[in-house]
Amino acid sequence: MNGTTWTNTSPWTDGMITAYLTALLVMSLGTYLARSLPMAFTSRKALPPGLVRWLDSVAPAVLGALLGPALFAPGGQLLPPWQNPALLAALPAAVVALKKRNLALTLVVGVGAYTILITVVRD
Amino acid sequence: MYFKRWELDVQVMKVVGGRCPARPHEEQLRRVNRLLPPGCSAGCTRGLRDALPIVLAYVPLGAGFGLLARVIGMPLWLVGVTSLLLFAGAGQYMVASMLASGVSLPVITASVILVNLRHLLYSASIGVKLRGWRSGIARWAAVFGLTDEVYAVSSTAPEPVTPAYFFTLAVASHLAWIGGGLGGAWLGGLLPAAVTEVLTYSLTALFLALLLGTGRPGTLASRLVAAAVAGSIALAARLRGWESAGLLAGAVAGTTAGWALTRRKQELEACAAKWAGASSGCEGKSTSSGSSGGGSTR
Repeated sequence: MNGTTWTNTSPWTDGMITAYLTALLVMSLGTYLARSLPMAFTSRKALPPGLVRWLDSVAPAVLGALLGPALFAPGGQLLPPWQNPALLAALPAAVVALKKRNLALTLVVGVGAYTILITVVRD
Repeated sequence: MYFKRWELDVQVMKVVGGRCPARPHEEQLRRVNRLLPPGCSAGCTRGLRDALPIVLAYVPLGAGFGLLARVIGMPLWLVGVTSLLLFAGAGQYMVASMLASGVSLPVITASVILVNLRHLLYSASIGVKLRGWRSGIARWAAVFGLTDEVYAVSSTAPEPVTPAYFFTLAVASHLAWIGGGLGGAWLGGLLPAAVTEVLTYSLTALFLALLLGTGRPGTLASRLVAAAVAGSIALAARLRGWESAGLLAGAVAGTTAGWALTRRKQELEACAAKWAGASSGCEGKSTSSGSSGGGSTR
């Protein structure tokens, strides 16, 4: 189905649907294996303590890797800090997260600050 | 009433397997219970509570995919099937945009799998937390819903990750994702872009809250170093367009940095304890580890 044009807005033909479903099954299976296979090993009893300690640091590193681009390059491009509502709104949210350790409150403060800032920065 | 639900949760743990969760404060539980459907156990309560920020963000994000998919002519039911089977934010956006620009299906398939290889790390990490589960099938079913956000929330949860908790969290998030996708495909761009943008920011705020507001207080320095190393690499990669590779490389490097710092700190603490006991033998250990450990960046 390599010659198929998917860009038109007309409904897909049966051949397109079959080809897409096949591809979808393969990519879903690949994604599921990536999500399941390492768990099958690490959820068993005997795991070197060094590896367990290394895995302890995965969560903060993943959060950092998700936050870095989201805060400093929200649209895919580096923004100056004073014109970056995503970064500016993170400051009060970070203070609340550190002081109060309250998830809901941090979300409310962060999203609230972001809402105020995008109306200010855009005007 | 609340006591019965707590008992029910214990029974569920016995059947499905898993460690007993800490007993929540009764008054808090009673207050939360009034808002919940009957039959929701303590683990389910925590799952719903933790799923709320994910659900709020997944509905508009899923709708974005649904909208894109409809623009290229994908039937409504296929939008639902894609969200059901793939359940991957970045991956599904890639599918829609690559189809729109005429990329062939094999290339799309390979790209999506490559992008989702970052989940290998989440899987390895969450496996340690699922160790207490008695049912292996439940574990294999649970990780189907292991997205970035579900991983971020469940891996930083202060209480044990029980089956009731994890399944509630994952299923609620998945339903929000599917519902958002169908809604977006059906209704089109009814939600103003500004509202979508604000709701999407709740994910950034969620990540920030999980990084800074969870975890043991003594580990803040190593968590911040891990996040800073990972974030710098991911940011640099993002600016060059290698978003997903940067996420994986950044996470691995950041994890290693955090681990090195934790190990160095433990060595120094062990050393200090030894010195306090007025015994010797500490110097040799600390110099040998200082050369091997890479965590002396502070």
